[in-house]
Amino acid sequence: MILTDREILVALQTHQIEIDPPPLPDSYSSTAVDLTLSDVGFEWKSVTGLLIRPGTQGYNYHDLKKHYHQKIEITGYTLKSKTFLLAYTKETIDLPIRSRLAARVEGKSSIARLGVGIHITAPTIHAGFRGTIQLEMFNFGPNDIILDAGLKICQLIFEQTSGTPERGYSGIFQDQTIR
Amino acid sequence: MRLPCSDIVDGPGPSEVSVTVSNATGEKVEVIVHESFVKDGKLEVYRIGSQGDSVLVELPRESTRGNWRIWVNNVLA
Repeated sequence: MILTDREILVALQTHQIEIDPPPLPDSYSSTAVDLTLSDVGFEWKSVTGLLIRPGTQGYNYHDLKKHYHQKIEITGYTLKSKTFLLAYTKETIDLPIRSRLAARVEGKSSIARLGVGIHITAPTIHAGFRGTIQLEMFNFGPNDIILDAGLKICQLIFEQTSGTPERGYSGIFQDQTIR
Repeated sequence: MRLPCSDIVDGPGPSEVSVTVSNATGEKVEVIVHESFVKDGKLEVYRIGSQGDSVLVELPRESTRGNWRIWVNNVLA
């Protein structure tokens, strides 16, 4: 079940959802709230011969980031055609586990019609999430796009879960022996 | 519940840190989390269940190797 704007507001007032800084009144639509682009992002350096093998013992994202990430400031930043950018929302989101809410980050048509996607298959904001939301942006369009911090870049759609996840559960079946 | 963690360094995003915890077999598991999940060198995790000397915990975020839940040594937990 997707929360409407009124239900999102109630959830914010009752701290079932925390968004910092709080969304402005013009950030809401009927069933979503818009988030904005932060002023920091990262580009991957293109390195000839570099092979990345995630999921294996010894794979370390921090080492990879140290050598192949390039930090950029998103103020008049040009997202070139057919390029990838790791960006973040300005807002920090907190979905307390007992709120029984999860969310999905989705693009906005105003940005999508220019050919820019804001996530690559990882839109789920799990119950219990706390932090800024990483955006895996790609410019599929033929033209370069200039991005500025504060741009309404994505929307968050909240969904009610039908129960409390194991990690937030405190009933009689908590912490069972796993067979 | 909190697990000791090491290699605490800045993460890629604002207010993020990258930390490493050890699983029950001693392998290092790297996870990038909001800084509020780490206090006094310990990572906030969630106890799911147990089996013998091992405890299954859920990490605050998906690890960089892709798993959310890991088995850890009961002594650490």
